[in-house]
Amino acid sequence: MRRVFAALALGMTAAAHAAHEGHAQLGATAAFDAAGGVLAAYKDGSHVVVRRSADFGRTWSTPRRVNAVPEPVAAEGEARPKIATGTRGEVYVTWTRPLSKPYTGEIRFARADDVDAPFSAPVTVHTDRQEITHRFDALSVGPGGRLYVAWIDKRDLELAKRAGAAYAGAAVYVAVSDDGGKSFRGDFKLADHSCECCRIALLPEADGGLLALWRHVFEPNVRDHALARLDGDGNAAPLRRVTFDDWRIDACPHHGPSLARDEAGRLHAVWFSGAPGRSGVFYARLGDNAPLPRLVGDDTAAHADLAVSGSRLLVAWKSFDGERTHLEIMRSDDGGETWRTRKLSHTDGPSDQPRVLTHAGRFFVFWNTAHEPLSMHEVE
Amino acid sequence: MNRRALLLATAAAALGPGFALAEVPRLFQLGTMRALRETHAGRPFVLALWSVHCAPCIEDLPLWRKMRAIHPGVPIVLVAADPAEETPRVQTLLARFGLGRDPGWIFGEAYVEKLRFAIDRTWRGELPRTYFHDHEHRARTVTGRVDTAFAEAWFAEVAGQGSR
Repeated sequence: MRRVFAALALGMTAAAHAAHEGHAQLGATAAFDAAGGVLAAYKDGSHVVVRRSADFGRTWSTPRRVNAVPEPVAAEGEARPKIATGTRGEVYVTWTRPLSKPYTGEIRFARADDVDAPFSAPVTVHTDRQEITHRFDALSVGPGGRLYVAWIDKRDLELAKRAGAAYAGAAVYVAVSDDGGKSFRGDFKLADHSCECCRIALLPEADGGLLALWRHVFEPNVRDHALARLDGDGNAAPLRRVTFDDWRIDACPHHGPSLARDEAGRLHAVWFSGAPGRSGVFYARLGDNAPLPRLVGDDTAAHADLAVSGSRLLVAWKSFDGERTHLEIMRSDDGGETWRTRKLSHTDGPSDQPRVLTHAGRFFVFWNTAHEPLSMHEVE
Repeated sequence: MNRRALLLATAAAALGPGFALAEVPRLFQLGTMRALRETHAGRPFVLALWSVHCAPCIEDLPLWRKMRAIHPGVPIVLVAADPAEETPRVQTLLARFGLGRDPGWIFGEAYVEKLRFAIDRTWRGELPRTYFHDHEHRARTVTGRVDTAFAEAWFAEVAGQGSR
């Protein structure tokens, strides 16, 4: 008892505070289904839960558990459960299950035949079962229904360590499913030397291939971005460096990029850099002869996301004015040539990263905040 | 057993024999940054932001132990940018690296943007992030791992100024 009184006398200790209030993990993602409903996935204790909204986020169904058996779920920083829908109404969910050693984890996957069907028992998508880093899952469905799961993987780092060799960063691996998530093939290595803790952006292609954009570790320690393609057979093409901020750093930026393609086939990306004299969120069209990157927002802008519909683009990000967190957007109707910027919403409490969704030519920003959970904002 | 005692016992068990149990980090709240500047007014100090989830941060911990041993008069304020639930892991790590007697702080406010803004409005969560404050609290900001030669030179310089 005396110890407890001492703790109270000293003010709230960290442990007492944790027991008292808990800590909300707001990491959530959302996806439209074929019927125009929105599905959201997020962490609730030792479960991933899914809810559906038939009215663009105004009301949500009661949460449905994805994993029946409790297990640890990562939902902090760049980690959060992912949700996607298939071409025949399937619902796919991935998450990272942290294991007992630091930085270790497994990429978990569950599926349902449709929004009302039960979820399958979760499976681990990678064949490598060492207790090492498999974290920061990314999930995407291609136009033909092919399913891709990518993640950050340290198996090559572990091999190098055992051989006494140096190895910068981690690697990006991919598993592919051609049967709606009933089985996976892989693990296909997309590239060595990714940064260790930033989300990966995926963009499936019409021919069954996959483009991925991630923060890379270029020699000697430049954490700029790389783009690479995996073909339908799991063969990786050499990566291409696509951002040139020259951010030389041994750190965890905790800011991954976003990638989209317009109807003319041009690639658009947003990313964060902390390079001295060149820090902030940037937008650019990727590729040869593209204009210089454009600074997005002010010096508090963070966690931008990007989506494209036809030749229209929407970028959303968070900023902070000292009192409130703002949800800001910039919109282009001409493939990224000209932009209009405005504030879309704000909150005076904790909030997750925003995500841009498109549905039937309309743009929505999904933003999970402590005060307004699973909020959806249409951008007219 | 109450929750606090349980957490402390967990941390002690994780350490095993031969390790001193780390003190409990205090909660870094909205007024803490201002209080730190007042506490260290007219004196240099280092503010080292780190996280149990950040490998480069943990690689910097031996440097802080070394600098504390060489320059005990220059405070190194450790702040774990982790939720308070991570307190046992913070204690375990700091004890392992000989930093447990002065574990500093852990984020005690879920609205992390406010805490970051109070420290530095342009800090967007990259870690490690270190602020080398001189006597007038002009800060040299380092993102990412701290260069040992830079740290040694900086500590030697500010410590020398203090003894004049």
